[in-house]
Amino acid sequence: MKETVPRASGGVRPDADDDAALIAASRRAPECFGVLFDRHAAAISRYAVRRLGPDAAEDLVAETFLTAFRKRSRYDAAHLDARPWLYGIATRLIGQHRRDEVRYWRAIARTGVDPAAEPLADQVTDRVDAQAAAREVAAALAGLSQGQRDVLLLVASGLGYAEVAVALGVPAGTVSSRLVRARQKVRETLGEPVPSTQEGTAE
Amino acid sequence: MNEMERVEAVCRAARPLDQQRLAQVRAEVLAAITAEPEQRRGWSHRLARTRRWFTGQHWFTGRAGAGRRWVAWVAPLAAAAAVVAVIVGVTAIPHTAQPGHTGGRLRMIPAAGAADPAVVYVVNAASNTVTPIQAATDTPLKPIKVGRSPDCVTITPDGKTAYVTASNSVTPIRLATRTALRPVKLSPTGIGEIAVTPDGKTVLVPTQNSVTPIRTATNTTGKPARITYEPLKIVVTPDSTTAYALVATKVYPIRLATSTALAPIDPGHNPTGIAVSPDGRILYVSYGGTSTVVAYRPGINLPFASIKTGRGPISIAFTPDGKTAYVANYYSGTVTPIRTATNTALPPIKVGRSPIGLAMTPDGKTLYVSGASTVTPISTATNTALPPIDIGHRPGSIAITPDGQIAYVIAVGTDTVVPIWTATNATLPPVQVGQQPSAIAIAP
Repeated sequence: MKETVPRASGGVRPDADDDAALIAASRRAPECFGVLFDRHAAAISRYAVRRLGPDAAEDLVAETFLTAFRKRSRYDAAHLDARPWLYGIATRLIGQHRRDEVRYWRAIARTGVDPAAEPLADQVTDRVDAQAAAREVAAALAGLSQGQRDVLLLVASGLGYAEVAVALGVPAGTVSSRLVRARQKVRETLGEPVPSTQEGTAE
Repeated sequence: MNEMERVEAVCRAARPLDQQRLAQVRAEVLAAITAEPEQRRGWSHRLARTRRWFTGQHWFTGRAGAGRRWVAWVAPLAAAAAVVAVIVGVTAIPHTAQPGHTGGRLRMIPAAGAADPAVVYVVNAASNTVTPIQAATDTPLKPIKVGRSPDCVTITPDGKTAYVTASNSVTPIRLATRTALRPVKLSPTGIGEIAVTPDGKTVLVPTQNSVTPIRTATNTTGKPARITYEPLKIVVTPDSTTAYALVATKVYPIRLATSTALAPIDPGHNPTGIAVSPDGRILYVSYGGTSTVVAYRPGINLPFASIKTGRGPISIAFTPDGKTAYVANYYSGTVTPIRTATNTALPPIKVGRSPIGLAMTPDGKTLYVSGASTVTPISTATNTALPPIDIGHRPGSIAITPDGQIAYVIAVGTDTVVPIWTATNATLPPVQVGQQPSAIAIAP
């Protein structure tokens, strides 16, 4: 379901659309970064909204692209798609606010309100079950380690294993083992409805 | 759906920033990077707000436009629960301060020259401490060390002991000496809120797929009541016989004598708020899915009335006389009063955006509602909103002193709590506590 990271190999022409060329151009023409922003900011913002909430997301997106700009000379031009790199930067910035993120997930679990998915006036009924589901997932996510949450949420946001490995700067094997553990922990927390003590009439 | 698909669904449900906000961020980013072409002078010219974000730890409050600070990681009911305290017999001497006065502390003085004994306890999630504050003078006292990542606090009705949940323990605090006792080893989920029975004999701790009782006489744990899924909120009937544990999809009654969960009572979607009337005759549960509050008869555990609320009902508070209940509607930005005698909704009261935390004064005359950016007082006599109070930051949990004179509000994103003088609804100077205050309770 997930594609691997596109790599520039001998026959591929670095057409003007690829991010690597854009980032290279931005060394001399910083305004090129605006195009990179236009391509990826919406996706990065969704990821930021998901992990830290709508308000924090604005600052996080801004800081992600500023950090990217500052590090653009170190960008590996072999990666035509800058998405994993940008997700990685955003993830490291989120990591600086680990407690805030945990509290955010906890609050969703407790209150049943997911500010990241606040319904528009006419969408309320469609979102009802999504909200209930979000609470259980939020409770499970709050209990993960930061590394597990990083992997799980990057994969759930649509990155392939190889892209997650690039984003986090870890081997692909580490990604899959972390993902396995994270999924297992979430599965345990979500749980199957255990037929527990429901002796409504027993005394 | 397997667990991965569910996590993916939650990720998909998040809405990206809208075009307008993205355009704003884009402009700021480009302004910053073109202003600093070769980064020779470092990044001193970085746009002001991201600098604040990066260097200041309180980035949630570093933004202009208070209306957007609305991320809901409040623990609203911890404070609300702590607030259901009985007013103590205090003779008031009229004060002389002007409305809006925020300088020195001018409070009504208790009769007979007795010192005001109320102490506010603030849990500091990032410092692993609890900061006591002398309410009479707003003086922070020596912090009390508790477990790692403390999260929630409750105080026994006799005012002798506080219980603080942390990641692997619950720490009892002897309030007379303000000393931590030996922690009770267990693993609170950190998701749910701790509760104490009205008879003060048992503290109920949300633990994994269970509610674990702690006997306050010995500070030892009893048999956990098994439920399916993590308890999020726990309320107890006034006679201390039954607790109701709310999980994400159900409400379980728990018979406390035997610590057993009974069959869940409700068929509803997404229960969010729960409250028992002071006389123990009504249990209200709010449902986010249907925008209703359903009334149950405790003991029989059957629904007998359904009341339409605004969108996103989330928390419920009763007046001390039990005649009215108030429901905060998160998505509508309103509070719905319910006349409990007839289970009918009165016209909704418009408050600030995203109301979530409710705290009632002990005399039941004023309800304080914390929302996205302000605290809105509601006069329960007229069911009208009074002018909103700006505490300078996003308000979190609220706790009110037993004499009803001061409401303490956590200023989210700062290391302070802001006292509000209830007589005039003026704010007093913020009180410094530990890092990331997360919960607050007051002992008489």
